[in-house]
Amino acid sequence: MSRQYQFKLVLLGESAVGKSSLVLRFVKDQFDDYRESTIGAAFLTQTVQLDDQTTIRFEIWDTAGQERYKSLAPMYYRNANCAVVVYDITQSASLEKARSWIRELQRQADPSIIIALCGNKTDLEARRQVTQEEAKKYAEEEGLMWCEASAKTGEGVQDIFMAIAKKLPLSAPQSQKGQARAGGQPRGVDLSSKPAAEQDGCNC
Amino acid sequence: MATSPNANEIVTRLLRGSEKATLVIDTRPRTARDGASLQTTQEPGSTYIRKTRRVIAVVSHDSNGALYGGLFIFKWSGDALVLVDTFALSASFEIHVSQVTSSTSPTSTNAPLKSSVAHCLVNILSDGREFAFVCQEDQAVALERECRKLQSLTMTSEMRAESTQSWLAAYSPPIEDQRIDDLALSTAFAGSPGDEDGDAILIRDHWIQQQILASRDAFSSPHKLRLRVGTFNVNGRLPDASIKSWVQHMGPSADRRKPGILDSPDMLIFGFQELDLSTSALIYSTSTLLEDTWTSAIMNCLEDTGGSYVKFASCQLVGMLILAFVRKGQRPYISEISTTYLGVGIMGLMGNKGGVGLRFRFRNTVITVVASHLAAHDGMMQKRNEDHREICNRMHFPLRAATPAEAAEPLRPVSSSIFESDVLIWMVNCLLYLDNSDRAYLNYRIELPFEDVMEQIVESVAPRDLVELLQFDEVRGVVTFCSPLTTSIAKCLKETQASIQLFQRNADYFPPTYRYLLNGTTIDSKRRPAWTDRILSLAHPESSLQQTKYESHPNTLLSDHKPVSADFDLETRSVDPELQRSSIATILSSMSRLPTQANSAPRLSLSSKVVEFGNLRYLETSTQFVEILNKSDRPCAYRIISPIEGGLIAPHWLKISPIYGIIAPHQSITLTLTVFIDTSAATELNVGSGELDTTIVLHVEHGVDYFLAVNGRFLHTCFARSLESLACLPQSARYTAGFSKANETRPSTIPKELMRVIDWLMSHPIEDRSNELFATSSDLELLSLIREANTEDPFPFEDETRWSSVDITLAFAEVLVLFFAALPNGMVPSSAYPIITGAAEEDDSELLEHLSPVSVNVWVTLFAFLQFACLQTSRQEVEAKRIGECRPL
Ligand SMILES: Nc1nc2c(ncn2[C@@H]2O[C@H](COP(=O)(O)OP(=O)(O)OP(=O)(O)O)[C@@H](O)[C@H]2O)c(=O)[nH]1
Ligand SMILES: [Mg+2]
Repeated sequence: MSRQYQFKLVLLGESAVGKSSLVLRFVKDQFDDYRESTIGAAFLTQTVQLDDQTTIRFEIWDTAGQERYKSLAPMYYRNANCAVVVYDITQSASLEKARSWIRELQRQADPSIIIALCGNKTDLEARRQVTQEEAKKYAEEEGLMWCEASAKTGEGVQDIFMAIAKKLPLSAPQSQKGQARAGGQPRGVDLSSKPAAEQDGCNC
Repeated sequence: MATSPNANEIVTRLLRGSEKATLVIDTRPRTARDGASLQTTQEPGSTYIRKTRRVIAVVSHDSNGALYGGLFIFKWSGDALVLVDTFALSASFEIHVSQVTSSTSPTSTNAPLKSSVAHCLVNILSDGREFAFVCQEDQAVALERECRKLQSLTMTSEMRAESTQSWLAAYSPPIEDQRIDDLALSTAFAGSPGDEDGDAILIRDHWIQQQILASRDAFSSPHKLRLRVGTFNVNGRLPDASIKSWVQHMGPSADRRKPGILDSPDMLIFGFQELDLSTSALIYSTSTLLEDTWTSAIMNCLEDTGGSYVKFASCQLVGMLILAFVRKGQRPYISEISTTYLGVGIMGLMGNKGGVGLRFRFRNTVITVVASHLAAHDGMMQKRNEDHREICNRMHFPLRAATPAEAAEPLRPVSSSIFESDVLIWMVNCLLYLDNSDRAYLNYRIELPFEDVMEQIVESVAPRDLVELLQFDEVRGVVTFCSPLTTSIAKCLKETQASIQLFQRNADYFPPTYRYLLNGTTIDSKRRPAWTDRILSLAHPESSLQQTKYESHPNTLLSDHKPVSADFDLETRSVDPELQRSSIATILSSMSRLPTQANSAPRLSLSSKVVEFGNLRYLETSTQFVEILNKSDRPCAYRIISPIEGGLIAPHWLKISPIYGIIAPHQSITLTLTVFIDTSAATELNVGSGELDTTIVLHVEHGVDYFLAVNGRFLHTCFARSLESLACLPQSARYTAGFSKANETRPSTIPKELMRVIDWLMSHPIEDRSNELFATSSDLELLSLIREANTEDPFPFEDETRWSSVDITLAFAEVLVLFFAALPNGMVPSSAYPIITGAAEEDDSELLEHLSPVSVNVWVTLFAFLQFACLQTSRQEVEAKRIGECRPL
């Protein structure tokens, strides 16, 4: 019998780092060269197959990176089970911004939140400003998952979400708060699932 | 009698385990099954007191044996209690109880109901906050005792442990958003979109209904129906010639030329009470003798008018009768006639009290007429309310026989309530006394029955699912284009709460209709006169019913009551069912692609991402528009949601419209944003920097939250600040936010802004127009010029030509009134209320001791001016009344 689990995931990061592009790639396998900056927060869902038995449904909030909407971000990361903090490998300032998001999450989000730091736009290797070592070191210090991807080519995108899916604690009954969309829709959560969750690190 | 919702029980349910209510008083007790009792509301003191019917609870909090006290104030909301405020029973808490002297109600000896119960004014003060209310003496005494007891316990606990009022934080009054939608959408805020499926359906159905209404001219055409309704308590008498003026409509054209003909109505419906006073009439009978007598009397009157009428329906319950007539030519448009009755006499068996009802369809409009006769005796108001409620609840019309197909439909109800109509006309006969010696009493009696009707409707109408009803209508093969009245009533009530004039009833501008000496026009001096005979009407907002006349007929001599009539113009519609069906089908099909899940939500494009309002002034309105385009092929349901949990969708000073809706594919809608900074908003904003910056969240169901930033700058004002803080401002109020104690260098004795206005008034005569002082409604632009004038500059009226100098001065007086009306805490602190209400022993002169030095100066200056104004006019016509109304106690 297959089981479905549902988790709330939020994307954070400076404007134009490619949050919306990563989600679009993950959910619809598309890419737009000219995307409008997000003024608000978009809700999307996608399921990943963890194994024969288990599917994970991500309820994704893609937030606005522009500074003026920062005050609304907590409304979207509250009760999130996982967060993907995105930076642009061609902009070192965007990593700074990512650090400040991570600090905020560590302070204010649900303490059990799983945070992944993700460098986007690996297709622009020539313009790289943020080295893998630098970002990886920071991630290790903070105990975060880390990866690089390109929303444009699709490289690494699926892997981010897969890695997060593997790391999510399937044993614990999800907190009620994890339910991003209210309204009693059937959630298919199987609470009688196996007691121990696999504890795979990020390998991307 | 079923048990009533008990304040005590409800409060207990609202408290956590660590808290206990040690005393609960309801300043307005509720009686069994009664939404709001009419008793005890009639304390002297009018508005202020009426507004403060509250439930007060003394609550103790147990923290490891240490007790802390709190005073909770609730208000009723239907059968629920809503927390209004909490006060900690700590050292700064004060409670003052003073008896309200009976001198304020000179006629209290013949006052109704609880005249023997003494009332007390209770003042509560704590940390600069205040609250006052009136309750019965025994309640006040118990409350004071309980508060003091718990206060000393609290203070002991605070000495031993650290002072902790944090337990009170668990009880915070909910923020009320008046603009919250009327569709009962689910709770949603940024990041938490609520029940999107349910909400999308509600929004869709609302839209469908609007579209159908908007397109109705395509499938139907309007026809005017002139309707005359009459009610008459005939006191067991038989008709005579004097009923003519009641039956015949005398329009303005009736006097000249062919009398009456031009104006004779298409339909006439008459309600009778006390048709038969004999004892045998107390039980149900089937005799039609009286009905026939009255029918022919009315027909005789109608023949005079030259019209040709037929009786199309009648319905009798003992003494109550409805007779309905229609012009012969219009008879074919009447269908689905049904009648009903309900006796509420003893054990529901005797038919002397109760109501009769008639329902029919005229073209496409369902009209219901009810004639009711309620408990007769003075002091039986409660009984009357119960009867009224019973009629509201229990009077049902059978639905017409079902076709086999319909009968198979599981949803099909067997009967429908009186409210499921497009138009409801209610002829009420009950005793409502008028007593000129006691004005409050008068208001009470005249106003409350009306409110009653409303409150009872609120509770007797269960809003029904619109979709279900639509489907149901389709089954019957007649899709009505108006939703049933029930839905709209529930909606109206939510929109405006009890203040809406739900039943349209023109002011009773005719003389009381009861009680007259028989065969005369003289009021029976032994009885207090009363308006016992009324015609109320209620129409679905979209069926246009207009009352053109409402009058009594004092020259009808035969009864001790005078008959009353009302004339209405009703727009009815003839419908082409084929066109209607296709038109509705088109509308419905356009909604079939409304998204029902994520990832397919339509993309919108907003014409601007930031709405810039620029400078915003006190009491001025400014409006901005945002176009929202739906860029996709699917319709989209949107709603505005709060940017924070449990918050308002936008600050009070910002209105957004429409706050929910449908945007059709590739179409756009206009969102209107309106800022209006009223006094309460100004009070708040005067404190801050004045920079307004807020974000509106527009949520697309099953999709995106769009942000819309709103910016503006509030220009600080001297209005809506306390006198004390104004006096301390170092510079013009325009450039100063808030009130910093540090600036208390040398407070001026009186705010200069106020002084400037009074100076102007004292130095500019108003000549012969002194009677208009404080009574004008000046040009808004002129008022704004005065309000906004900078204190550093002279008023800009040097060479003014647009307004006369007297007009300008009168506007200054208006601004003066506004200034006092906008004072955040009024001029008189609540500690002085007992003196003003005459409740305290103290002398009026001691009032000044309760005022701050600045307030005293302002009083003195103000009264000097008023005296000056009085002297200016020999006839002393100055009405200081409006000043007095500024902060009603
Ligand atoms: N070359 C390249 N460009 C990318 C990639 N991902 C995104 N972009 C481009 O970067 C720009 C910004 O991408 P978005 O996805 O809109 O960025 P965002 O983080 O959602 O920005 P905000 O919505 O403003 O917070 C767009 O022009 C994308 O086409 C990538 O992997 N490679
Ligand atoms: Mg984006």
